[in-house]
Amino acid sequence: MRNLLFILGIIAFAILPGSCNFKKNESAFSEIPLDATWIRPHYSNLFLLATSHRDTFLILKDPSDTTKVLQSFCWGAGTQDFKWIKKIKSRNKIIFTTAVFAGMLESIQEEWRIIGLDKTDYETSPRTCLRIKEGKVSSVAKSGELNLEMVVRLQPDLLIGYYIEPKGKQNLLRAQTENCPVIFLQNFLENHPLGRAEWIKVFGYLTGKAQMANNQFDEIEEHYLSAAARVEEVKTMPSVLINAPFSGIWDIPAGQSYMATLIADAGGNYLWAAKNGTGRIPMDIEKVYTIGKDADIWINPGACRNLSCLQMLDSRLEKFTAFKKHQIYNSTKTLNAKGANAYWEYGVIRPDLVLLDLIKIMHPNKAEEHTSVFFEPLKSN
Amino acid sequence: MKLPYKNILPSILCISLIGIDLMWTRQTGMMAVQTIPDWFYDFRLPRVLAALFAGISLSVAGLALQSLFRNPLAGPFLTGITPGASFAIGILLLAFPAGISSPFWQQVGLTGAGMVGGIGVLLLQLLISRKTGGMFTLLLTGVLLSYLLGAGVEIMQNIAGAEQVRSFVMWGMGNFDRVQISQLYWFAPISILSFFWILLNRFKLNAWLPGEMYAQNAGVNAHQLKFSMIVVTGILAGATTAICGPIGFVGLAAPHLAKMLYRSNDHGTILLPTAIWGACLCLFADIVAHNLYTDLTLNVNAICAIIGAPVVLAVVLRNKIQ
Repeated sequence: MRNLLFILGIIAFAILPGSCNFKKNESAFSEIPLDATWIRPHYSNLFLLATSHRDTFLILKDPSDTTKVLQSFCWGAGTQDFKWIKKIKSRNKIIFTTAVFAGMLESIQEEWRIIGLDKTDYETSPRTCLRIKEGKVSSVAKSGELNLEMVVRLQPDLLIGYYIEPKGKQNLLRAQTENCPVIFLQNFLENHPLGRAEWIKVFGYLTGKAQMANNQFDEIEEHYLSAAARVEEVKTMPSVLINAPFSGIWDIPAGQSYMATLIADAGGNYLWAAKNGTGRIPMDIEKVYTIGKDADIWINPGACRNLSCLQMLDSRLEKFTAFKKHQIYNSTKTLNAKGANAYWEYGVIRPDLVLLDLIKIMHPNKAEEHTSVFFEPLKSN
Repeated sequence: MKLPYKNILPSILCISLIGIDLMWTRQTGMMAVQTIPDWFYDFRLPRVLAALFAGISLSVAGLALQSLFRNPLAGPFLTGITPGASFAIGILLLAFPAGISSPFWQQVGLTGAGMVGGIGVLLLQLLISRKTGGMFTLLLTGVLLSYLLGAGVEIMQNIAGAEQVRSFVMWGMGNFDRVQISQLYWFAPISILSFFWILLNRFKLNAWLPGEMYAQNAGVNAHQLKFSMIVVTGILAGATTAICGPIGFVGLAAPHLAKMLYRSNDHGTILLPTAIWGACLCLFADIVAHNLYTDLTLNVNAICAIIGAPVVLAVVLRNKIQ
């Protein structure tokens, strides 16, 4: 009997946090004032903003279940304390664990707030690079591990990052203090490239540059939609293969991922468009070959910039039709000597340019005037 | 007298698993022999053969190590061969990525590093055991070296660039999909020749089991046996680790499965069943990894651990009870 009670106790402990989360989710919404104005993003599924006369509220949704709240924050002049919404006291000193968001801050001219970055070597935004050179931005991580000592030394007001697995989330949460909340921006799990770019609005509201951020996004949206309209009526849609295998395993973006949306909007036929999900599916090379061997175009084959690099990865890759026809393109045109690539930073903020690059590859006659910004064909050797 | 079904049943199981792994796909079911698709020879066949020979190599190496150390828990992982191979490959992938910038060097370099790392660890242990003596010290040295080399790999991962870390992490997720037919041209002969070499030395290994003194009295050159076993097991486990990544538990579990079935420690009796059970474990893990989900491919190393760990636990409990 005692054993049974012990087991029931363990089960109750395991279940309780989950039920608490559920209450928390409901309460975060219930604490936002009724007179608050909701700013609902057009493309993003993962954040909501609300403004009351004194405070701004940020609700971050759980990417695995968007009906749940991952985190909720507020900032502003209001003095009211909330039970479930975390108050951000100051927003002047920010640490990012990814360069993507640094680019967003720079685009609204607020890069002066950045005091720490995951890997300063991989930064590509010009003004932030200058600040790194001047010693105003420190590196706070190495090989994905957060340097807690450095974080404590820098005394940030905010730590903003992302996680792929629960271990990464716990690792970042170790840096959380009363004066430094950790915010998870999972924008890479958006299913629309404009959804990823729309997160600039979060930074706009966070830094008091909401109007500027909104205007920038509207402009990008307009460019994107007009680019997509160019290929709306194309009759032939080339089939598209993506990524490359590492040790026999091939990460394939799921059918609702932003990459799948980009390919569809560029007038391409993404071969795994029917696969549910916004993340990646690790597939073996055989499964990918059976579906993608006759793909017309192959994009983003890992870090390779030439065909012999692909052969070195796996000599069987030369059996793909796209390899034989030299129809492989990689987003390495903006790769610098240090290995940093603006595609992962500027490309997130400017999906319109990425889309035009892809249209140029798939339907060259529809983007004749466009000079490719990120993509280049793989060289023969 | 060996009961025939004890040999026949695992053989039938192994052949069936080879057939299923070769011809079955979750989406389409069993493919007809007349309509073998173009990808069969480039992708499926090398994968299945790699699973087969990796199973044989690891299990035979595991049996030889268990006999050499006279310890039922000795295996390529515990004795430090696999961590040694991983360390050497880690140096190559993380510290000298430019050194493997051609397909030839990638194959030769990784395999050579795996073998050198595996044999190096065992030789180091042998050197230490000469000073201290005793197989327990040897095994303890292996465990300590495993931790030391693991720490070395972690430090290298901290220092290396993101791309190198990614390639090493992916390599560390053992699977048979990465193996190409050209790699099997040398891997299969190594596996088969090593098997026969151990088979030829089965009487020496039997004499070694009661103790070094007993073996010497029986006319066995103990140093030669130790050295040659270390080289052969190092080559077997190192080469397997180099081309398939680390595959755990097979080297530990397969010999015990054979010993449990035959209730014997005679190498002439259990060597073949050990190889067959090793192959069965790897083939089964490969089938599960590829077919449990329609699209997703699981990590073979993890599947082997899930299957192998209960076997090892059963052995430990059985020995404890006895």
